[in-house]
Amino acid sequence: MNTGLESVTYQTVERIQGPLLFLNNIKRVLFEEMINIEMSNGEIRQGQVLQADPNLTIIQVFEGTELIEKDSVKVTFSQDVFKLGVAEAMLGRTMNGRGLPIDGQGEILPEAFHEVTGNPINPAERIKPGDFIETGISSIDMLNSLVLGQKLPIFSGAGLPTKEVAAQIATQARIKNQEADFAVIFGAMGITERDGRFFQRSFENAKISNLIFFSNYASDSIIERLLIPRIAMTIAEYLAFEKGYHSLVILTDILNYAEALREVSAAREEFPGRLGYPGYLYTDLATIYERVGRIISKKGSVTLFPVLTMPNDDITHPVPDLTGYITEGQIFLDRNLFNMGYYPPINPLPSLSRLMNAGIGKGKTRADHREIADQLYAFYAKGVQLRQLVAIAGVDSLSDKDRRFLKFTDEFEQRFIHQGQVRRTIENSLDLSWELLRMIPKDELTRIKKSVVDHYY
Amino acid sequence: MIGPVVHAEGLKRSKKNSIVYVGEDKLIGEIVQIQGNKTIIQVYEKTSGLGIGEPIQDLNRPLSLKLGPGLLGNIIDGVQRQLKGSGYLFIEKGMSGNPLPIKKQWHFIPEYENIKEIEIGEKFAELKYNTIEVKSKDKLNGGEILGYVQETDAIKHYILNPPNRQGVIKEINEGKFTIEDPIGHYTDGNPIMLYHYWSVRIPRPFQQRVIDTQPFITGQRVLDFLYPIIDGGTAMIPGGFGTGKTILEQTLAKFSSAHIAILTLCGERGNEIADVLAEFKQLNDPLTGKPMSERSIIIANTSNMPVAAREASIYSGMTLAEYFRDMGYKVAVTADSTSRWAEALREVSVRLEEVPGEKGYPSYLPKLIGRFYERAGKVKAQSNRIGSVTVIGAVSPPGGDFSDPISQYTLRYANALWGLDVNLARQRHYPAINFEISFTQYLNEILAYWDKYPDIGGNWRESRKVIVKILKDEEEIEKIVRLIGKDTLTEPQLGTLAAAELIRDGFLRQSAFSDIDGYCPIKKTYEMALTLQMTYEWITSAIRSGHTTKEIFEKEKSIFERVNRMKELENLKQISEIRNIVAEKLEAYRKRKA
Repeated sequence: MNTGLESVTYQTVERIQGPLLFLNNIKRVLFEEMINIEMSNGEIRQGQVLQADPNLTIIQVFEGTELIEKDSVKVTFSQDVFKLGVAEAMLGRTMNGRGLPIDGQGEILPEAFHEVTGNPINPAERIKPGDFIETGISSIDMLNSLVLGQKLPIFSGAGLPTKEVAAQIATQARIKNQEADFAVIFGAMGITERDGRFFQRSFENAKISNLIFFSNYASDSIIERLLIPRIAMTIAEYLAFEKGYHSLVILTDILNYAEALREVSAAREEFPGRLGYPGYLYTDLATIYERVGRIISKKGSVTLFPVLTMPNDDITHPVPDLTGYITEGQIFLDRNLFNMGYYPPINPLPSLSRLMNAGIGKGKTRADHREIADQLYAFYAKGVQLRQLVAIAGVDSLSDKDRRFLKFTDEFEQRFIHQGQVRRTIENSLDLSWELLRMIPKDELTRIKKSVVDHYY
Repeated sequence: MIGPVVHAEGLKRSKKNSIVYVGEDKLIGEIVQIQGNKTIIQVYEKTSGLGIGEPIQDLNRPLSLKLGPGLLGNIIDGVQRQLKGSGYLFIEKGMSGNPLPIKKQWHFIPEYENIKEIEIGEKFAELKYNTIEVKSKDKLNGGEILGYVQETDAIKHYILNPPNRQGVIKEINEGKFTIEDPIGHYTDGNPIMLYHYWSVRIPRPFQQRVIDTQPFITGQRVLDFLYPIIDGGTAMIPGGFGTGKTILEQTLAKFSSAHIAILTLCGERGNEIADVLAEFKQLNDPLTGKPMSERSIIIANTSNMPVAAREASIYSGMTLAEYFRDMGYKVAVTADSTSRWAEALREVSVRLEEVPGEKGYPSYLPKLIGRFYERAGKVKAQSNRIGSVTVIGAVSPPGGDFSDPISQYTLRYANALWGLDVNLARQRHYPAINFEISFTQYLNEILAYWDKYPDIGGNWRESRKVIVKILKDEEEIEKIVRLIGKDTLTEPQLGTLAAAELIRDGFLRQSAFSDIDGYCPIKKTYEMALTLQMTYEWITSAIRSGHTTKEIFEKEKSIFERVNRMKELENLKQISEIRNIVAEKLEAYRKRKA
């Protein structure tokens, strides 16, 4: 709430710890109020109120607290919460963690100011996402189909070709019969400059002009890292629901974000949850992820790909675990497939798209899509199981039927999963699926209706 | 002010759990602690931008629901603000929302059927009963029926005298009324209304619990056949993410044998809610033939909506269920997910600086979970009718690890466990119910019930025993296979493996999206089970006569394929035809042996 009062300056910093300032004797303060911090050398930094209490007000400083002197620093309360100036002209620009341009191409005139925390979409005004996005990757389009307005994270591990897969999806994604423009909003959170350059180059090569790039590299402030996803979602919402774009947001890496959140939580001496992450990590991630979707009365959409590294490839780590509970599935990159030289190393078994059914089938992809997908899954799962058996008891112990499954599994990986950078249409993927299914006798295709088998087999 | 918690000073005579308006935007809050002249409030809305020194207004009543016509087909948030038709695209601070539609006129009729219990489906229409007229000079006890409005085609909304209100009717009228028009008066001059308030945290009173076992039919074979529960029972569904928890909860809400379905979507996904809404508008449900929205209420608190309102939503759902129970309905409450509710409690508890219990959850959490599940049951209500509340709670254990506190606390209060398994889900075997950990404590009661209906469940006990044994044996055999391979298996063991695969693929697996198989009538479940039992006997007697499993399955391929595809059949006769073929084969071996 804007109280309409003049801003007030205090010089009562009591404690500096981590990225936080602790102040006492603050008479008037708003929760999440924006703060200006003036250092003795004239440098100005910005912050935000985390705890509003006259006796102990806590402020997080966006640029960090390095070299702030306790007694001389002047803290000015702005009497307003943080608002982002948004504009269509942000398309094509590179910005920092506070939404200010850093590409030397001049200032951007805001068309409106929005609170970056956003408001939850009224669930009764949402429309169920159902427009198929063709990513050009078989193991996604066929088995884990994506729709506009979905949030689908990429679960990866250190050393896996995460950025290649993320960039491939972002640059190749297409929607049938959609006139509205795509806008790609990329939020880099604590990634290396090298990775950041890779992304920028990929987008340039793909001639994506509607790109907004928010940069916060590993060496930048962790508080800005906390702000980036919110800023990215705010501009994405603006473009989608005010300007009619299909906003595609990529946030990488969520693990870095969560670690920044943990650092602030620890500095506040909060009770830690699993692995020291704060107990509200679920709610916090949800306030980012849940901002995607479509609204009945609006043309555009917000789609999100959070990219995250699973420490030690552990899917039960709190960050992938909580993410999985909020998002609508996951694309799982697998180290074994990667080691066998397959690209993209997407393992279909732990991958999932919850909104797939709404985006596929007659009139969208093809009537037989769902059943083929189920059948491919079932056979691949079985084949992988048989491989474990072979590792113990040898191939000799297998029946002819089981050997066929093994062969199917090998071919499935070599031809279906391992497609490289080539773009495949959904029709290509469907046909390839039938080609593979024909390796198995007709009557064993129990997941597919008889009439469908008779038609395509 | 820290997140959803606000400390206030100077509130006089404030009561714990009283509702307050916080700040100039009138954010809804509830008093959760009183310390000296300091009052601690949890706020049900976003507190961003709230300033120190802003005023607080004490409404001096607990968090309550306004219970009356207009609830069905609606979607509300945890503090009963109607979300549908509210005009808000986003949930804003200080958003106003009427709990019930205020303009809609209802045709109230002061009479009701003199029946004890409302049966599900056809049986009710055939029933003969007298009508009781409600008129002036009638003495009213708390919770008695005053009449009804036909709220939707599927559901009569009985108007109840408030549970704690007694009085004599001065006048009561048939006619068209909005929710705020009195439908009559008590002799003490107070108006009689179509609605009353009830506090969400207090269970609604009833006369007594009723012990009369009836199965709660879900239409899901694996549940109805292996792990059935009773009407008024409790079940928990733990499952890691991606195991199909939400789909299963929604399927249960759609298909189970209840008049009213209350879906509490607590801390879940917005797109899912859109999905349920769209589907419930279209779906002609198997019980009434009408859209599902006519007999359901959705309480929606997505994971990014304020955390304190998420905490309240679980109680709101339960209170709505009890209200319809008191009219004599069978109500199914699904809570998805109770873990998110517990996390909301933890979040608020941490902000209140309470001493934490296990994993940071407040020490009073097990008590609250116990109280929640204990609100389930079949009761003789104050209205003299028998109604029930069946509770199905989803639990989302972190990392899919069932040793987490919420799973463990819930296990002690829920009487059935339908555990979801990530490995089954990865094979796209849905519902991914795990056979090792799932259980039901209602089994003996249910089996005794089916014993009374030979045409439906005459042989239930027997076929269940056989099928459970096959699945158990399969587990053991698989262990051997994992150690030393398939080579060493005996023919009977191979036969068991083949039969188990038939059972898992052809019987337990059921697609929630299939037109025919989404809902499986109990009779069909029984017919299929009987056929599978017989198929197993056939396989074993063929093996005993010296055939190998491989031979049998190659020779009789077409029969096995038909057995495997029984679920695609709608006509039960076709299933018994298949059984007759199997029976003939079995008979042939028996004769040979003789």
